[in-house]
Amino acid sequence: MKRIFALLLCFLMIFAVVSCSKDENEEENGGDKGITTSQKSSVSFYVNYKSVKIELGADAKAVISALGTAKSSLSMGNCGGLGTLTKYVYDSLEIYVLASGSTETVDQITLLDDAVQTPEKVSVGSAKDAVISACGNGYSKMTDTSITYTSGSKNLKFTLRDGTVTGIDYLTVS
Amino acid sequence: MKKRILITLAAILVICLLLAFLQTLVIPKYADDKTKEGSLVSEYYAEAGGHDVLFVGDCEIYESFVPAVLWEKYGISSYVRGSPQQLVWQSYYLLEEMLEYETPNAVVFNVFSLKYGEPQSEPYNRMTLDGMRWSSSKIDAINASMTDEESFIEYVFPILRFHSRITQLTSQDFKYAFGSPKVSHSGYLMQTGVDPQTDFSKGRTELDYEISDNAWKYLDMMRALCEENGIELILVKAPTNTMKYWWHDEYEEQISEYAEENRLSYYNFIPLAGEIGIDWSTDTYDKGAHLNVYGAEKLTEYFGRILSEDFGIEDRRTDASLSEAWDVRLESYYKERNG
Repeated sequence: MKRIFALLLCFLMIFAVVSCSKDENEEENGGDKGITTSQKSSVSFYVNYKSVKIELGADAKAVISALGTAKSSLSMGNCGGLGTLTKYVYDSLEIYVLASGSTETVDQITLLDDAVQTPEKVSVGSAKDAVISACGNGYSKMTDTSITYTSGSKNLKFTLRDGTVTGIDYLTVS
Repeated sequence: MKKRILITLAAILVICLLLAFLQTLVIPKYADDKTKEGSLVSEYYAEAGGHDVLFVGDCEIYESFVPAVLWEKYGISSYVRGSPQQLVWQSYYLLEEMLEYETPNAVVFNVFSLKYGEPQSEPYNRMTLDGMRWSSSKIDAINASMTDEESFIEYVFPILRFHSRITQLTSQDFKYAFGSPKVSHSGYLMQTGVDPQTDFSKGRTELDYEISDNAWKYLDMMRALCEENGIELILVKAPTNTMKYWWHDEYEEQISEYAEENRLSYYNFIPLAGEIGIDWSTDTYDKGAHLNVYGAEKLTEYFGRILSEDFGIEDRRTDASLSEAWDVRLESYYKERNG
């Protein structure tokens, strides 16, 4: 009989040990993690706008609060009730915020005009050469229409047309 | 000695039953309004067989096409096997599995998911894969879908994945431990709410617009599977286009080229929304991300004409047994639609 109890206890212990193998937060998010790459970049993944530092992955509540009222905003839920994406539009940039549970993070920043520069002093309207000069050769991808710098799941993408920057986006890819 | 062995075996049996019961308790039930899409894939088996048209794809497919309308207006028997963020390899394996039950005349695939070339998210994987019955298709689908953090054994024994929910169980976990309520109408997930689309600005920038080799591979496999079985493969893009789910021109060009090269029919309903009669102030329940039932009925009626006239899908309303089955489904459909 003792052996049976011991066997039962063993199973319960296995169950208990296995139940500690992942943290609670990971459970709630289904273990979804960003893609990691070995590529390192020297560029920064933030911009300063209206004296507010807006960084990819940062707590969005603090950023949105510091920026004041947006010109407009639009929220859309994900299928299956898995989070919400909200776009906040300001004069010179858009911020996309991903909400999951009680967490809200800056997921994407799009610069709309030359009133905002990257920390490397590149803005919409800069030349392709100016991008490479300012950000270096450590890009993860370069085509005729874009240059992308990557660090882990964070990306800085310069969209080009005829050798000129027409769009700047900070993107999280998970 | 024999008694000891019997007692030990009985104890092991009790433990297994206990663990099996715990497993039924802790796995997600997808019974609430927000997550009910997770039940869609498993509902197919109750209606498997006898369909002329099968639909596969992501949320755009199960919110856009209404089998009840296809039957009522055109006598086309169909089923929608969609699920949230259903990736192209999942669509392929779901189709492969369905062909074990039936051989339709046409398969309709929504192309939006082709933008994804790699496994994306475990919660979405679960919503598609957990509902499949065990088969070689399910095994292949799991292997193609797992993110780096997932493991196959956790799909075989979901208790290993969801055990920590034991402290977060709700009344629903007990109520639906042995089966969740039916949520769809032949795979169509009805939404009767209205939340107009007011923002028509271009969607957000993507990191890359090139459809990956992996996505093409599974589309090729789907095309080959259909060819082998004498099935017409039809590609569609639902008419919805919003900041969150934007269909970029670069995607359109690649899909159009693929369809032309492989002599497939491809219908992008985005530019046809006006012709279809979709009114974005009344025909969406979530600001344009998906159609509500009123928009889906308009699109289905439009597409039904194409299936009937261009692809020659027969009107089967003279089939008494099929008509009887669809009468029941139509009654259930209108009961929910009209409240």
